[in-house]
Amino acid sequence: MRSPASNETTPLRVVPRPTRVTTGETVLRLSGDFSIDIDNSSSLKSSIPRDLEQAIHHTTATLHKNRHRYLSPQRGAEFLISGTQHTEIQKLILSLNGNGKPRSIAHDAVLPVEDRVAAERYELELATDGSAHIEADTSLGLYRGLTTFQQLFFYSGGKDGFQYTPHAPINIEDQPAFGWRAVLLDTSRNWFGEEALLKMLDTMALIKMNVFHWHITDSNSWPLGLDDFPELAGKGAYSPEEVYQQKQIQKIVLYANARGIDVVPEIDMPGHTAIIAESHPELIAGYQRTPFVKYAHQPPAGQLRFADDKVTEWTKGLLQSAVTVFSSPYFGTGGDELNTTCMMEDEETATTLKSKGWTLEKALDNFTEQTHAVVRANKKTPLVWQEMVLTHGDLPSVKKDTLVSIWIDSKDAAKVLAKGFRIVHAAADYFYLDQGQGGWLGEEGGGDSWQGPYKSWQKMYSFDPYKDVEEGKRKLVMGGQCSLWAEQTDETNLETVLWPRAAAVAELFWTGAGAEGYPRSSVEAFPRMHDVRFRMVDRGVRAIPLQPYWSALRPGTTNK
Amino acid sequence: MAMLNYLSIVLPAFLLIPLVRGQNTTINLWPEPKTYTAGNTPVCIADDFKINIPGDNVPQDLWDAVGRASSRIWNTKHEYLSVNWGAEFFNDFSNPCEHYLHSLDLVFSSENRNSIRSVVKQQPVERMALEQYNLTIPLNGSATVIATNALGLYRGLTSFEGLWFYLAPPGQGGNTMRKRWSGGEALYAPWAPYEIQDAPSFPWRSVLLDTSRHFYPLQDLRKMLDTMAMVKMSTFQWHITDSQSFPLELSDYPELANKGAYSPARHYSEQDVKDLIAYAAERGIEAYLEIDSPGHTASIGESHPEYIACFDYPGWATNNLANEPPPGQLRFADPSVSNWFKGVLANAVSLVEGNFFSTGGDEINQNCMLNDSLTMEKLNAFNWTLDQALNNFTAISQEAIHAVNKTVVVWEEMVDAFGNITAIHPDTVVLVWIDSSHNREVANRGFRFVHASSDYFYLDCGQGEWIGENGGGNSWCDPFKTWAHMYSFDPFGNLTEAQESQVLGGQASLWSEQTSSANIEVVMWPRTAAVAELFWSGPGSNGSYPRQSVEAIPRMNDLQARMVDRGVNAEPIQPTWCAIRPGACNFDS
Repeated sequence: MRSPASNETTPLRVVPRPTRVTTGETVLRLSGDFSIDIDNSSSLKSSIPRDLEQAIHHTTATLHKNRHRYLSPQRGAEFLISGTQHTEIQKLILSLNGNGKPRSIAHDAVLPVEDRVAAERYELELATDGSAHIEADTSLGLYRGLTTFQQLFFYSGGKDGFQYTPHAPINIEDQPAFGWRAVLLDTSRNWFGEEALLKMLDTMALIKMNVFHWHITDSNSWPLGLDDFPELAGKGAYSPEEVYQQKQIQKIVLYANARGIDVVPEIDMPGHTAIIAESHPELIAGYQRTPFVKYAHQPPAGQLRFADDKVTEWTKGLLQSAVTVFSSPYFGTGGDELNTTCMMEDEETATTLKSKGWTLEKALDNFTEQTHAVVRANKKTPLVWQEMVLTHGDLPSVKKDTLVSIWIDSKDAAKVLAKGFRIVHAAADYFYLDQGQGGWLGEEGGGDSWQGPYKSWQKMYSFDPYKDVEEGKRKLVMGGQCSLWAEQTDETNLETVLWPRAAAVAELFWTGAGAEGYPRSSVEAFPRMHDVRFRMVDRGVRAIPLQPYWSALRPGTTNK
Repeated sequence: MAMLNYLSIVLPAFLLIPLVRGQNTTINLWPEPKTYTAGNTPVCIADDFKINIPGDNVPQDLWDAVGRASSRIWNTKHEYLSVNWGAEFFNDFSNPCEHYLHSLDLVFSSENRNSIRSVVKQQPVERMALEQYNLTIPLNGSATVIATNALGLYRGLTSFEGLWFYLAPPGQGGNTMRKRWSGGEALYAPWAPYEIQDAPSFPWRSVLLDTSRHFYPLQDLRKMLDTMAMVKMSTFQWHITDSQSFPLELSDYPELANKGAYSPARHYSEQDVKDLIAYAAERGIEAYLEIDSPGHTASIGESHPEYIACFDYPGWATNNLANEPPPGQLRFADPSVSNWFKGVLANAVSLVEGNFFSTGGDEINQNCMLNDSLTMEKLNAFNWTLDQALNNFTAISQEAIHAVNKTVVVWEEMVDAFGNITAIHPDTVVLVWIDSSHNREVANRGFRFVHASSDYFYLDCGQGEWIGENGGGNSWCDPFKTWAHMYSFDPFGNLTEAQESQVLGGQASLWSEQTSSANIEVVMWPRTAAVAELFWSGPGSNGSYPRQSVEAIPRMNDLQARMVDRGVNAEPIQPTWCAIRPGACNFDS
């Protein structure tokens, strides 16, 4: 039994790599009637949260359904010498520490981000006698442990196939390095149905991602069906079928929360709102104004007339209606890519600014002050893009507790931290999943992507969350996020664009630095990444291959 | 070609709705037909619509094609891409269809009753002539495809299929206009009457798929061929083996797949190969095999280590033994290896129906050979250079192809990199891949060639470096080749006028290092259709190359959505907002 340093290779193929692991070389197999039970002394015995109960059933079913085999030329046969009787695992026992009524997974999924790290902690022990045990302080921690447990097992193949793990005894003490491990999906440029979203959430849960940043609206379409504002989706969705109704959203949110995922909605404003003009033309400056390059970063042009009190009032009503649909303690108000020409050439806006004696920044400050007040009144914290603190001067309306997503360049993180804000690393130079698909705007011969080449998982993985971050500011780094802007993605390619690449982000921000510090070694991670990719495929996810199959079966042969 | 103005014969009611169709200079077909005229009146498919083939001795594969086309037409749910999703074509929503098509007749204009499948036996230029067809769709009654033979009728039938849109029944569709309609669902073509006269510009409109880096189940290959046929592609180069795996089961050499395939489930049996080649041929596609050699053969070492140089050597990169792992190449300086391999090729070529077979010949690694003591012994014994040894190997192994009167296809190095390989026959077809500018050198040497260059037509570029390397890198042929980039290629660029006839066509290649069953369709479609149109439709509307990709965007969006409607995971090229507003997302809009 050995305990590898955290940057040393571990034989365990669990993504994200657990922070502390020891393994052995005993092969254990799951009994045909394997079950998961609650420790008799645990408070769960008397009242188990429904979502944990479901997760237990789901884990048992997933384990029995697994057909993923160990990746090696022998496909695991090297562990299964014929005639050998492998000790069976009959039961996995879950214990919840502490007394009192256990909280649900969903409850802890929406804790403040700083509290999530402790809540996700768990210990897993698998002894050579077949006894298996997961212990945690929360249902959420137990859930993370169950997820790890699933990834320990491979299918034997052959007649009377069974599930086995080759690495017992296994001792894991695990907790995330960061409380924000996110996927952003834009559901405005192209439409994604409920089924596609639920499947994405399942795959996120497999790798312990815990935030779905739902960029639900943008200038292209408004699929957000709000009971109080039916006209927005009525006129602004691509079609009546392509709308997330309020009840449906609540169902999606619950589904996510039960998997330890916080759904953080974003209604990007005051830019990225052109489509509101389909139902409320009076609220929008420069709708579909051309040439678009002058008035917007991409068609269609159009932004909220945020200098106008009536528009601000209306937006406050909209936010009040939207925030209550979601369980998250955070709410994204966007704030990126505000086009000033669009505003300054808008007669109504110019008149308003003049009559109030306001600059555009002053108007933006007022708009932000009032709209964020709605978010805060609902006991939620605003989440904004970096421009809100870097581009428009120091807006007093952006309070210091606001979460700021870095996106334009990873170098900008230090500037935002210097102002004392908490940040999420989501920079385009590392974490934009849509890069490298080529230009999509019509021009002869086509163009390239705006932010350079495709971001491979190895590139993402090489990111250092603390680069240029002084010691004292590190606690302000909440975590990281890969973003999928959907100009060239819809249900046809969602999975191939997202998976398994996003798992690199999951591991980077769960496992943390390792003994050698950042950057982590993608060469070390390669066998795990292959494994989790094939596990995804086994679960019906169209995750792309990272190397030829030949290489996937032969770890270490295909390095530079 | 001038537009015929049908406005005068259209019912006045149709003039009440302002439509773009009055200026309709393009119809929603991909590849764009050579010449056509269209009108302004929607025609609907009648409930009793059927497809007839008058006369006797109709080949069965044409009937089969009719069956498939007809079921696809009835299953169409693809809607016209506009903000009103096609409702703008109709102004009377209680009875939207005023014109009905009751039948399509496929009419032979000659005595030729050969099957579609038989056409793969024709030489490329003759085959191209057989692909011609005329399609007429009047406002009422019967549409007609006329062609000299079954392949032409099949191409015409494919065009006919691509013209139809679905109008959703009331309540199921989205927009307000559609809701006014009280009728049922309908299938319509918006721009009747149609007159199409069509023929390809190049015979070779090809896809290459590598089934060695990853194995693809037969159903993936059949589905790919169906999608290729949808855009009238004519050639499939099946790169069936490589260094990573040898999935081809050969009856005389069963050990090759038994030891060299990834697993017993990842084999293509001889019957599988023959069936797939026939499946392709019935769709007007010549599928031929490539057994890349003498490089790209390490997987042979699993069963015959004695034939492979530097097999399993460590340090593939640091010792410069191969472009990617695993290293290993046939010991081509050894005539006994050449003769053995000739037998392998003879077995493989017996499986193909058409004229071609590829022996590959790219990326031979010199270092691997020069570090192989057995190879060095042979070179010394025969007093050969490596190029002379290669010439001998080529002469011996390609004899297997010539012996059955088939034509060899090779990668460009065989004629422009390895010195003078005199064993290459002058009728050999050469694939230009390293750089598009190399076409000139290949043309100067008098060969017919296919544009397959990595700077335009490699589908795998831009997915990032896949070799393990901390920090990752970009793909070697970065960036990603967009459909618009492929489309902007000039097949005659860099050539003299006299050399233009040596251009057989073009090929999109999918090397499978980072592609498997999971993502084959999103990597391939709809991008590959750019190659289909470039080499079918020829020069653009101004009569020359490059074709204008901006003009093609609405049709490309239409094609992509049509593929999705058929169950193909073709990826979107733009946001839906743009797809339903042609022109609004051009850079100059």
